[in-house]
Amino acid sequence: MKFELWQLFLAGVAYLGLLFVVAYAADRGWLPARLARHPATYVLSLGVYATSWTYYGSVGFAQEQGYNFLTIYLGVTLAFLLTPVLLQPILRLTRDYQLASLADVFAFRYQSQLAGVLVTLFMLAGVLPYIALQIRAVTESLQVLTHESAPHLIALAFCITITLFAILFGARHISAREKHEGLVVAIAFESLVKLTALIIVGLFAVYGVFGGLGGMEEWLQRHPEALENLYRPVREGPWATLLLLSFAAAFLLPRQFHMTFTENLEGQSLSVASWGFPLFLLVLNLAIPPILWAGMHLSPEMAADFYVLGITLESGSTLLPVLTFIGGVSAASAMMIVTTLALAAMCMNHLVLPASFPPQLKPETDLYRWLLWGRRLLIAIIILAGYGFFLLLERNQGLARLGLISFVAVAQFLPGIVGLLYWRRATHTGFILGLLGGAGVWTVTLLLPLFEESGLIRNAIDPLQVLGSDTGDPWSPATFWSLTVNALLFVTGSLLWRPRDSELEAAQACCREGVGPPRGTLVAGSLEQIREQLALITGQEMAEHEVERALKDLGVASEPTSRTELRRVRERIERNLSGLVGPVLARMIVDQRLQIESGARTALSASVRYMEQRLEDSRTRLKGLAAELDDLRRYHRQVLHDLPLGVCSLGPDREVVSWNVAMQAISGVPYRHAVGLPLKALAEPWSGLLCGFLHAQDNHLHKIKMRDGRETRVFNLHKAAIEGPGTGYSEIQPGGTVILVEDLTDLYRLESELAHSERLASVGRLAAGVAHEVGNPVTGIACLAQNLLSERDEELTEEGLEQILMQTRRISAIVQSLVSFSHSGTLADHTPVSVSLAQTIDESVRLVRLSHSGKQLQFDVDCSPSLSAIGDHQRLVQVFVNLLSNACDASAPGERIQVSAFEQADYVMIEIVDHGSGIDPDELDQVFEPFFTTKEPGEGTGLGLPMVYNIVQEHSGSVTIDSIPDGGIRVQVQLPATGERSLNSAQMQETV
Amino acid sequence: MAKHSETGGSIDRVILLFLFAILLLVSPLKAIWAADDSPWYLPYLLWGALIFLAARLQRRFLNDEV
Repeated sequence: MKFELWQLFLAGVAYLGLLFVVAYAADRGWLPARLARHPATYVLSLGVYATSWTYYGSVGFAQEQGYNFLTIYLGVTLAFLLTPVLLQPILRLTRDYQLASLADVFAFRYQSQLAGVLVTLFMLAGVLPYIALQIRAVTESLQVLTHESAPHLIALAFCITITLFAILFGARHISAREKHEGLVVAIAFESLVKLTALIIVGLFAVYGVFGGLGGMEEWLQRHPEALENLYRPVREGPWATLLLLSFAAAFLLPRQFHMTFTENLEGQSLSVASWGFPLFLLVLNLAIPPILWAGMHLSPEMAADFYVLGITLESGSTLLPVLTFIGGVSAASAMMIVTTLALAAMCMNHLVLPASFPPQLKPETDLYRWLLWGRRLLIAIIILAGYGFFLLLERNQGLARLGLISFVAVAQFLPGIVGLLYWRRATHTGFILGLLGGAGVWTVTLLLPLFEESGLIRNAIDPLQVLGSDTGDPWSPATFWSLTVNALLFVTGSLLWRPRDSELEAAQACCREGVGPPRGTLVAGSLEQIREQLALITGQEMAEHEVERALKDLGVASEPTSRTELRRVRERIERNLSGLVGPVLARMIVDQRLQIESGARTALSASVRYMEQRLEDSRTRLKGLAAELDDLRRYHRQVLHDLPLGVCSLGPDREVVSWNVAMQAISGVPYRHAVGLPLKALAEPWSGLLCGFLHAQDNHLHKIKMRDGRETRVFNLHKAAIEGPGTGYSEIQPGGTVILVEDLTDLYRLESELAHSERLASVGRLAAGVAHEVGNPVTGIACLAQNLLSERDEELTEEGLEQILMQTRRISAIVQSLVSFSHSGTLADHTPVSVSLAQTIDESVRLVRLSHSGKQLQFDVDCSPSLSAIGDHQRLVQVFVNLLSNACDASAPGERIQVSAFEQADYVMIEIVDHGSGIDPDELDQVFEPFFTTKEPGEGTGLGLPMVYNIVQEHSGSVTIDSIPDGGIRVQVQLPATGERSLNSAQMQETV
Repeated sequence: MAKHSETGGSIDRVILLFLFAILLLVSPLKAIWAADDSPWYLPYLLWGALIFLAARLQRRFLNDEV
């Protein structure tokens, strides 16, 4: 069967057109978004690994090397088995630091632009033969189907189509942070096509050629050498070497790196790929032995590389060969598209941009556009270079050979990867020396012989012959020597030259060991200054865009003001720029324009937050003692978190470091609006309250009242300095203050109600005296009114009326005193003010007289009118009424009760002395206990003196009771006098 | 505290599976399954078994992480 060239060309163009539609539909959102993000799509997109080498070349490779062809996929399986310890850390690194290619990763880890340049150049050299291989596979497949040489124009048209696709769907965005969903779906679609095509050809081989599995088994029994030829090379050939090469290629080939890490849409998909991708490869390769045997059985006149196509020509169907051809086109095109995209990004970041740094831009230059078109141009150049390589190479090399040359090339990055993930001592010098050494051996052992065979050079020395390793298998010695030289130079260079600080920092980030928060603070003091500085390099538009993007990524709604926040913005800008221009240039830009104040400390709150986040992210990877310590940390944090007291800890710079649940409930200020802010930036009234307390001398303040909206609330405040030796290993050094806030509002309200009840009880006890006191003037008024009825003399009438008015005023005064005393008041009414003690004592004496008028007691009051204390008038009256009532109860009729007040330093001392029955000395210690009373049942509640004690305590005073020698009791009440110190205290308590 | 040990255990199992795969593929054991009279599909069976074990481990790993 023979096909016309134009027919196949049209079929290829139609397929690529379909690919455009699929990619366009995914990009436009016509396909469900979850399709692009589904793990199966991700697994299929990794199928870009299977190129035309797999599709066509595996059969030829199997004929030559038996089951050794499986190593190319078993090595991948081994690499993906190590997903949690090998691939996930790289994925995390590329995501965290916006690293778009392997060159970015190495340039970031080794902090060297030269490392990036070398990786890019070596990758170009290693992969161009591979691109040439794809073009050759497509043209040769055309030749197989048409029986005539495909003109180079067809290859060129294929390259142009691939270039267009790569530009349209792979270079839509400028930054690595934006994923190309259309590209991912299209590459997955291509994998599905080649998988389907290969399975169909395999089924045809089994059922179409052999008539079923039984027929194939019979053929194998007739040709036992076919099976022996598959197994023998496994025992004798370069099995282990090929496993190692494909292990490295699984994630280091540019296209694999690009699809596995750069275009990874969902992190979890990689876990599924750990088994899904090997399964895809297994199914894909299941068809290879039957196709090989079918080819051997049918003996088509072609190289075994193209048996896949050749046997379909025997089917008599026109559809099957075309479908197989399309499968080959899909394998080649997917590889070329993704490889070119990856290489273009590398070339842009590590060849073009460093050569033109710093850019000489006009203010109106749109750098984004410039970068985008630069990448697109590079895509075209790389595909053109691959085409040039294709033209140069002779067609006498098997497909597998070209592919394996690339594999050995990327294996040279293995030592660097080991250093990246596990060896912090590795340096850029070691890496560069190792890479140059390995690349040198690779060039001499593999590339030059390839050029020699292609006639490009003559008489190249074969070093493998020199070394006596010319066994016909170049892969093992080439791999061994290149990797040995590479690793030795890498280790030697790393040990001889000390790593720079920036390298150590990057090494810590890569090894995820003890990375601290960004150190120092930014010189620029505002976002505006950051924009201005960035604009000097990137242009105004890009500077503004990058700052906005950084703020969005950090979730910062309002413009940050603190240096710590601005430092975080700088960090984010650097990472975002890394996705745009590579890590080295990004660091150069921010180092040059957004400078850091050396020696400035990072805010403790930022350090704590950063470390907590790091520990959360790393939790599943902690083991042994580290895991136990982390659990202990969590336990202590939870204790602090659930403490029923409000906890607010402050760093040395007075930024809020912690703000627990109780503190959120008490203050109504959520965690995110408190932590990281300077204390003074907290919402009022908390800022004022806590700042005031922080500056106060006392470490404990009791019953502080604060007006919070309409409500007055009462708190106990405690503070302590956070001290202790730092370990020196961490940014988190002790220092600062912890403040505990105890909400007493409910308790205080209860106490007030209790005091009110006690006052009402007192009113009850006073009631008899009140009745008597009110009764006397009422009797007087009645008598006077009676006299006035018969009195005609106007003067006497007037005098009588005045006496009546005087008596009513007396009644009013008595009633007013009672009402005032029994009034409950609110928390706000109990605001401390300067209280005249003379007035307070007089009012108390007057009230007490009401109930004890029958005893004819004498009250000797010695209190200067100038004496005053800080307190609440009503509550102080309650204190003195209680104390005087007790004195009256203990005194016999006619005895004296002395009340004296005098100043004593910052305090006022009030003494109440009676000469009554006194108290048993054994009971003196108990008098302030609630419900303790020495009175007869029904006469006392036992709450009076406890209430006195509480009220005096609240006034920052003290009360003592002792017996006097001649019998009787002396009560001493000490209250803060109205003075400067006391006024300060009053202001603290009167926080609004 | 069980969480850490479970996750650590999963990673240990991943390493063990990898070492088992190396033992199977690179050690002299290879000569046993790659004998001339082995069925042609035997390498695929071994490969499939490795994938099956990897899938089991991955599921366990995800469960540990949740």
